[in-house]
Amino acid sequence: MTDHDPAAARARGQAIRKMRLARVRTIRRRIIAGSLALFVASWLLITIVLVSGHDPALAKNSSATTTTSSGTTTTSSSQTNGSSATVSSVTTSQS
Amino acid sequence: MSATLAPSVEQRETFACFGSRCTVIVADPLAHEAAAAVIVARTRLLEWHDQFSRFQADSELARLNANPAEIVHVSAMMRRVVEAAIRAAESTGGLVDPTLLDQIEHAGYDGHFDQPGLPLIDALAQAPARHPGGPSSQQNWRSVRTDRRTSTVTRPPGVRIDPGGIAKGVFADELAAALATHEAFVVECAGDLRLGGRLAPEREVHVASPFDDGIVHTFRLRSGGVATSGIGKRSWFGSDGGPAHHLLDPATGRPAFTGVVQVTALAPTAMAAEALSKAALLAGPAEADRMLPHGGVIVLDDGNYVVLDPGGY
Repeated sequence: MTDHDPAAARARGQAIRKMRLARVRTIRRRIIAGSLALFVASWLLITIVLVSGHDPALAKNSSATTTTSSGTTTTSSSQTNGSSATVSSVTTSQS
Repeated sequence: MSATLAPSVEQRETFACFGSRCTVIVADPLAHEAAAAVIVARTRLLEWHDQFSRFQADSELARLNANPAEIVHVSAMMRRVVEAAIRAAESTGGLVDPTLLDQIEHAGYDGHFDQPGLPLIDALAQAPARHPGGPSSQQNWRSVRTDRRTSTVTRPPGVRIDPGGIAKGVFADELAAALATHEAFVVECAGDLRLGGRLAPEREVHVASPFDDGIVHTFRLRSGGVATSGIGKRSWFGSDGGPAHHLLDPATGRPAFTGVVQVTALAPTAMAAEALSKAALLAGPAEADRMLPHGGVIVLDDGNYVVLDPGGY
């Protein structure tokens, strides 16, 4: 019987080991390829977001710019000089 | 990228000019550029004040009016202001007349006016009967010519020019062209206002009452011109003992009491707004609204007022 043939058993064992190794290699390759793809995709996404000017880390600043540029206030027209972060009002009157 | 994301800051300066006060506001992401633009605008306005003052003997306007020659070579800005004044007279049928200098001096406005003026209520109580203004029968403004190519002004001997508020409108428009590349700007030349900019944010423009400096109305505007003409300030008692002010009825050559005491006009430019506001005041209550196609505020001498919506402008 082949069950008792040590050479055959050894060959079968080697074949099984080879199959396992091949499976491990395949799984390892898939994991590495997947990780690489995920890594590259992440960087691509970040690059695209930054290039388009929508850096999430700067979103608050960007929002503040819009507010200061277009928001209306009820600030009265003062005669003081200097700088202001709001859209100040003006008054027209007969000179 | 950081420069475009920097919050814009408005730089603002108010200063004495044209016998009143001027304000320049500039907004730019680069604060130093806004500040520099304000300084340049202020410098130019003060230069124009000296150039166009009729109370300074050495001003270009005074020299033009004193020149006995019929054709006078003038600066580009003088030519432009005179041209604008003639255009204002044409467009208002002579209600805005830049050749009433003799009459305004005769009425008593012959020097810097730095007094508070008569209280409007008192002046109105003593004013003559109201009637709308009209064009001068002489219409001397029709004899004034300008030539861009030679940069000259031609007028008959004796016809003197007083561009008045039209000059302030032209100055505001001139600075507006220079400031147009900034995010936002306002140039206010003693009542004549021009606003705009690349972003041209909506801005509240308050209209002051001629009676108590309270706010009559508030417009929300992004760009264009606004001008206010009125008889509430620069008023005095004339040689006849009656109240006088600086807005003359061209038909009579005397201060106009039409029943309208102040008009604020909106228009695409400050110069156009100035002409419309003055014409509406002189036209009187029945015709004033017809003079304001872009909107405005008409204040009557009984204190009532009419607001005309900008209407898409």
